[in-house]
Amino acid sequence: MASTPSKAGGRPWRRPLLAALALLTVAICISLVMLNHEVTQRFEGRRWDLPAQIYARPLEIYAGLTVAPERLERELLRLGYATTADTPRRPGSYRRSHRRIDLVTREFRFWDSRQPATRLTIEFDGQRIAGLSDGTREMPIVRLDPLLVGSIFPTHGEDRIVATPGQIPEILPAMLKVVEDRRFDRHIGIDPFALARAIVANLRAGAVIQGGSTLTQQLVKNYFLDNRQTLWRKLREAVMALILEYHYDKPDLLNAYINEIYMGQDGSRAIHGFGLASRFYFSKPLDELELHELALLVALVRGPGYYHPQRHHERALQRRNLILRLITDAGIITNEQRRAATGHDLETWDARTAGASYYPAFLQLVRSSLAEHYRDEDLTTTGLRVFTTLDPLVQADAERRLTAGLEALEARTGAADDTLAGAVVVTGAQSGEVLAIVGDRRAGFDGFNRAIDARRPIGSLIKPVVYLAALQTGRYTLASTIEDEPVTIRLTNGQTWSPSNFSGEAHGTVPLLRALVESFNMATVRLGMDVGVDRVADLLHSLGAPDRPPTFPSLLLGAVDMSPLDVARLYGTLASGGFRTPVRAVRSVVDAADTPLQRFPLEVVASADPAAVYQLNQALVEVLNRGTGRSARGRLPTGLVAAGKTGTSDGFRDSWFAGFTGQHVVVAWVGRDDFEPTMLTGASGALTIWSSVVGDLDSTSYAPRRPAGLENHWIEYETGLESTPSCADGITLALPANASLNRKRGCHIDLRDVGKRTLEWLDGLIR
Amino acid sequence: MARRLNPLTHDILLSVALCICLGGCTSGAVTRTGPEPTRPDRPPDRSGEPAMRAPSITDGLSPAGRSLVLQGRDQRTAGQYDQAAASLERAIRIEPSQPAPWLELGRIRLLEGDFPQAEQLGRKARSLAGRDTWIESQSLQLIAAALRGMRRYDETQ
Repeated sequence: MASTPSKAGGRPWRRPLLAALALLTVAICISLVMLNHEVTQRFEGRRWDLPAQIYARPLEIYAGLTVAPERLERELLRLGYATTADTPRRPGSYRRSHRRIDLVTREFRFWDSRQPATRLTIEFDGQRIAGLSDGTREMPIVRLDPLLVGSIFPTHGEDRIVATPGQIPEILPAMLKVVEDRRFDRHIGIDPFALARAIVANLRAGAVIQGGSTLTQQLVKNYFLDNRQTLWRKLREAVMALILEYHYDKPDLLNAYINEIYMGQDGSRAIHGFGLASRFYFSKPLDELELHELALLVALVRGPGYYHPQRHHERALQRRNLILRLITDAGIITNEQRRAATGHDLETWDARTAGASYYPAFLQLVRSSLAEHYRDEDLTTTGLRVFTTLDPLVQADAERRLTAGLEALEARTGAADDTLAGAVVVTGAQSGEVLAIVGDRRAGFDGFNRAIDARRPIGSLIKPVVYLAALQTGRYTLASTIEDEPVTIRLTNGQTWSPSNFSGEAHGTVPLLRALVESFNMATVRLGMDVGVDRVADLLHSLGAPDRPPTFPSLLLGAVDMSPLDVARLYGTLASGGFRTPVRAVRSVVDAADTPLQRFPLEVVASADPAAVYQLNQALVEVLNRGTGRSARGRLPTGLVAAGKTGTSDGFRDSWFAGFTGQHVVVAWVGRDDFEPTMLTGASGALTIWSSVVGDLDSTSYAPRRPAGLENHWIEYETGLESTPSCADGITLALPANASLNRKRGCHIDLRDVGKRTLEWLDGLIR
Repeated sequence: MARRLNPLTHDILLSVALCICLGGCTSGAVTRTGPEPTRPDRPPDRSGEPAMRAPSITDGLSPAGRSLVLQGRDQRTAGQYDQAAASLERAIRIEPSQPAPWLELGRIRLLEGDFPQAEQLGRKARSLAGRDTWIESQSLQLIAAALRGMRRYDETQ
């Protein structure tokens, strides 16, 4: 703008200058108006985008529940319950003694009712809960508050749980002021003194060691996340801070700050606000945090990555202790309180429980269930609460078992590290609820989810369907015999197909029972051809396979692709006596005002004859007793009755085991992503992982009631002949009352047999 | 799978089913009209003859299962079908092989007019009945009522 007076009379430069000034003023006014609009809009939009919150299943506590005290304690720790030395009084605290846990639950609004904070005394008898009372009277059943396992945040990744002023600990605002902005209550949005002090300090240190931003400026910075350190941006922030201060009260600004500030990163998810940070780092609500925990969160404000409590433990600890010192000096806490708080280690939950914080495979399933009913925008902005079926303990165990199992298999087979892939699915046996789903050996990996997306040939897992189809015709029982002899089938394209047994041997005439238990291919194909491939395909679809497969004879040996989750649905139908249930990951959805929006009700569809399924499942129990699954016995809890089937696809590319107990259906798959052979059978591969997962479950035995129309018979396993308990190699089988059985010669009814029958008769009366 | 019933039984079933349906339609707060025996509030009197106790829906349930089934019943009576279903689903999770919660859940679906699910749940309860003839007959009544709701009269026989 420097100008020299013109020779040509007057001041001709004046006009353009005035015009320029006028333009500048207008421009400044316009930008002020725009900034004002932008920042107040943001602030008034106090209704932050509220991502849907996803909860795990609540743990139901009742007398008779099989759960070891250690496991219940794990759940409490995971929920962030605090241990107390004497009788717990605060919600969210507990005390464990040898065979007893006292606790006070947190108040929680479930989808169907509100449960107030409840004082509980739980008495254990070994691995089960013997009694439950509130101190004065027996309680039949109580739910713990469910774990918040995640949220559906928008693509920009901002996730938060808003804390209302009532949920913010009183001390927190004071702490923030002392540490971040001492003159907050007095300044007008910017603090020249603090700025000058920071500049001096930084010049002296030759680096940026101190910030001069007020809380208000930091709030603005968080609103428009932009880390470019330009002068223009600083200026813009300062102006916006002034505007905010002009419009709003200090407490409002502080409250916004507490909910807005960036507190950490979890993959693509940005943790915003103290409410979510409290959940994320300590797995408990903000109002339950203790002093040393709050101090750590305040420490994180300055740089959540730089002071990350796990990655930079020492640095974070020092900053936390510095904050405790600062607030002591400011008179907010006493020296004694400071000493006590400094005595604690960082104690973020991750360090204590070493579990995964994040359930990508499960959340993927939740998202796809919700996508059918909700728009993306509703899920990411309107504060829905989603109650799911996830069991965090089962999930953590299953993740650990899959990782360890695959490592062990690689070591045993001499395969290179990280070449094997695997998946595990655990569902409720009658409810179809998904308790755990692991789609990768790296827990917490958010990518290709083999449990849902990997559709692989199921091999012999299909055999129960072939046998069930046969039993349902009424022409066969488990004791009927078939030929396990070479078989050649002429295909429609003129070629022939001659399947052989795994062992290469033929076994002659065998009962259905043994052919299934030992997984004979030739007998199965003969049986399937007699029943009809069409019928098997129909039944497979009706039991839960996603599509009706093409009816090639090779279907009888499992040449059909299914995902582990599909298999869980299929075996779930067998576990529940022939009733198909949709596999569910979500129980209920409520809106921000707790109005129920959507229930995902338990539904059943009768898909097979219950008596035939009961008969079939007896063979699946024998698979684990004496068949292809017998090697699992040592890993399963003693006395646990379970049923299942091995599966191996052509060329050892897929190793499967699918099975169930009284309460759980578990499917394990092992294979390679590049479809190369693993040289593992269902038994040598997936079964090892399956049995260790089942071993962790605290499950009950598979023990269904015998349906009407079936009677117990004593059958010789090798031949299917009716025998007596005095004959070797016998087994009790429930068969249709009208089953025609051939007697085994040489084994006559003896007194022991009569006694045994009487006992069975009595047993029948009692059942 | 459905057992053949003689004509007399058939008539009884139909009338019972009708009662249940009407009960559900006339009022949300109606008390039970079916022949379900009341639950025993106190233990059977042991002073005199060993009285035959009427069978109850909660027979064979654990205290937790019993409390949830009874809670579901109270909620059903109060017309709170969603809450009642939630309670019964909790009971099913705890004791999946007990027929009672399935039966009760089916009764709620019947009241809601979801006849296909009422029928299926009735079949599920029946498949778990074992030798419990009382549960079996209750399940058959539910199935018959559901079939009538779907106007599949011929199948109710």
